[in-house]
Amino acid sequence: MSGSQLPVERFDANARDALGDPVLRGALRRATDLFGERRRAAIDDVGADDFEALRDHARAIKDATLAHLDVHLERFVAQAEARGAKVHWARTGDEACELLAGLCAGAGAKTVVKSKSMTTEEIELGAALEAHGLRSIETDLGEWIIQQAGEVPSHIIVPAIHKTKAQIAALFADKLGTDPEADEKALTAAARDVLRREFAAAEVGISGVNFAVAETGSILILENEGNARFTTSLPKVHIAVMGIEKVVPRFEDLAVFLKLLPRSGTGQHLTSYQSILTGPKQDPSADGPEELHIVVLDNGRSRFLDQAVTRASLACIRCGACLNACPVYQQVGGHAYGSVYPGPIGAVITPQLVGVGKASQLPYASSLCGACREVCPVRIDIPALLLHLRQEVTEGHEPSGSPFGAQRRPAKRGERLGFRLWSFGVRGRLRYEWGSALARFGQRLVVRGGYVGKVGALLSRLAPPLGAWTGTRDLRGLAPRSFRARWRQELRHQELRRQGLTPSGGER
Amino acid sequence: MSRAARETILGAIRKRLREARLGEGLPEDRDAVGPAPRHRLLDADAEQLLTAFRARIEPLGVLVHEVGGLDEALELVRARLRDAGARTVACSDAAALSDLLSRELEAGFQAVDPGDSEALFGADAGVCCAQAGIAETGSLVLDADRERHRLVSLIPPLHIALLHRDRVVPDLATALRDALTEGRAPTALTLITGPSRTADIELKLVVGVHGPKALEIVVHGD
Ligand code: SF4
Repeated sequence: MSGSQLPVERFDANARDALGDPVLRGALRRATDLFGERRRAAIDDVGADDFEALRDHARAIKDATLAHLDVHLERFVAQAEARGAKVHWARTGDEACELLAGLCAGAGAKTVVKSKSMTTEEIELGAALEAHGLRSIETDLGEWIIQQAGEVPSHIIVPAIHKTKAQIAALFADKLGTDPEADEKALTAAARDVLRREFAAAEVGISGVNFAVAETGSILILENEGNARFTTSLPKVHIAVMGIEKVVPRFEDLAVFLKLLPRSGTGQHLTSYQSILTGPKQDPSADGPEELHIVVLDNGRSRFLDQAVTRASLACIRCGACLNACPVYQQVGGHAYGSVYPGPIGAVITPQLVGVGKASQLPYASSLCGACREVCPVRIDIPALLLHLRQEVTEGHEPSGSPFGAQRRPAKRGERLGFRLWSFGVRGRLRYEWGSALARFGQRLVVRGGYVGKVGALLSRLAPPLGAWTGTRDLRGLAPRSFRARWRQELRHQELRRQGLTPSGGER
Repeated sequence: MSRAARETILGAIRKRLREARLGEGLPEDRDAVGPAPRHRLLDADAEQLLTAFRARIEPLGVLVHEVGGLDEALELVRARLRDAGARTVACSDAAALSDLLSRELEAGFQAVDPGDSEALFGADAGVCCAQAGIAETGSLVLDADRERHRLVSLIPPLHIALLHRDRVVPDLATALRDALTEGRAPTALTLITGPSRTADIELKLVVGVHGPKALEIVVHGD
């Protein structure tokens, strides 16, 4: 399934392609606008002050949990086991996939139904199960569409956001023989019928976990469609896959996160369904699976713990708000990030998971405007994380203890020299003023109408790294007069006015 | 393999946290985090709670009926099933609903065993009781250890739930607290807020993608 994932190394090229796709950009704009509006309405409805207090509370719980993650995780596992769940640990994605394939084989499975889960996307579980000869069926409507199309999701909440109804109708006509003119209702009904047969046939259901409760050994899964309820209650075996960071200490803590997550993501006050599951069924005449397995996955997450700045990324509850708010995501969409985690959160998580050497462009896929931090329900300082990762990219460091340590890049000599000159120039007032006067004089050669013109662009292309900048941006020339000069003049004019004189000439 | 993995992962977590503790003051344990912000509905009376509950759930297209006693509630359920043209009906094993079943012939529909998932796929409607309602969110709370309604409330296209008016609690936190018995969570606690829905195709809302297309709530109790 990872077949059509774009290369994570080439955000620049991926983004350029995406920008040339008007259909995609229209869809993105509609979706991100709509979710943004709905989010604001959903927050107003709690009362903005209350919402701020909830955010603080949620983050405090996450911070306190992460600070003693080992304790909470062990407590969760002990409680889940006491209720009859079987808990498995996986260090890497491959280990988890092997483990899951083994569990499916043990259950005699031929067909596996999956409900939407970022963690299973991260480890490319679908492909791994198929490689083991299993049919792995995505059951979230958007994910299923994507699976039928042989693509990868482009948004963590609405995976098929990049596809139009016409494209989906054509796809269904091809795969299911439905009317190529079918509307969204007919398409949904067709998928419902097909997937009900899969639910009825599947021996194993695989889900993700939104929150795991240390106090009770429970897991919570939220959704709107009901496919997660099917996945976790109809097959004989349910396997839930969770990252180590999903744990919260108390059952009641779920209330806080349930108030934040849907509001931030889709602007709903609550999604249609929450399944809070604790152990397999005890009473043979009850509904639900006979076996519950929980796979606890690290896959690089424990590496984030040692610094406050990176640890914060483990507080993420995968709501998707930062994607919708991000001016970069709004333009290029999810595929350009070349990772299952797109948008601002992807730009910080992906480099930490796959190495800053490989995903070196992602920390730069941001204008650092801070919109993501503004909307994040758990107040993750994503811009700070981006800067931290940029530093690691520039200095050629991989996060400490990471297995990607080989690719070191010493800072370029030219770059270092350039910044030294800059720093020398701006640290003395006279040097700064003389320097900029000189630059103002010099720029006459290249600046036309306030912008660096063709000649300048050509020159800068000859002198990297400036070319990389002007290749995608309009570079403005220096203003004819500096702010300081204009300020001095303004003060002079005020003085004159006070004395009853009219300032003559000059610009205002 | 899993055992070794467990030690490696927990070991890695401990090592990192030890380093963090040396480098920066890590926050205290969960117990040091104060209480969650208090919800304003915690001070509301039963009448206000029901009003808030309805105000939340009705905009999602859910029909809420208010009746008097249980007999009246069951009468209404039969009428609604008839109106919906339901012929096969799955009923949970709740004691309150036994009367609904005993008059099945009279009511003109055929009963489906709530445990027979294959038959459930053919059922026109599912009826169960909700253990609680949440005023803050308009949600129904279904506790699977109290009643067999996990599939009855999921598979048939119409879901009708009975809710006692005294069982509407103010907020999510209260509902969660009430669901624990001596610190033990039920095997499955399901919160239901509206019909099954999706907006995966061009963000257009469609109800009944996998679960019920329609949800009706009958609030009863004198
Ligand atoms: S970083 Fe924050 S806003 Fe972005 S998905 Fe995670 S929790 Fe949501």
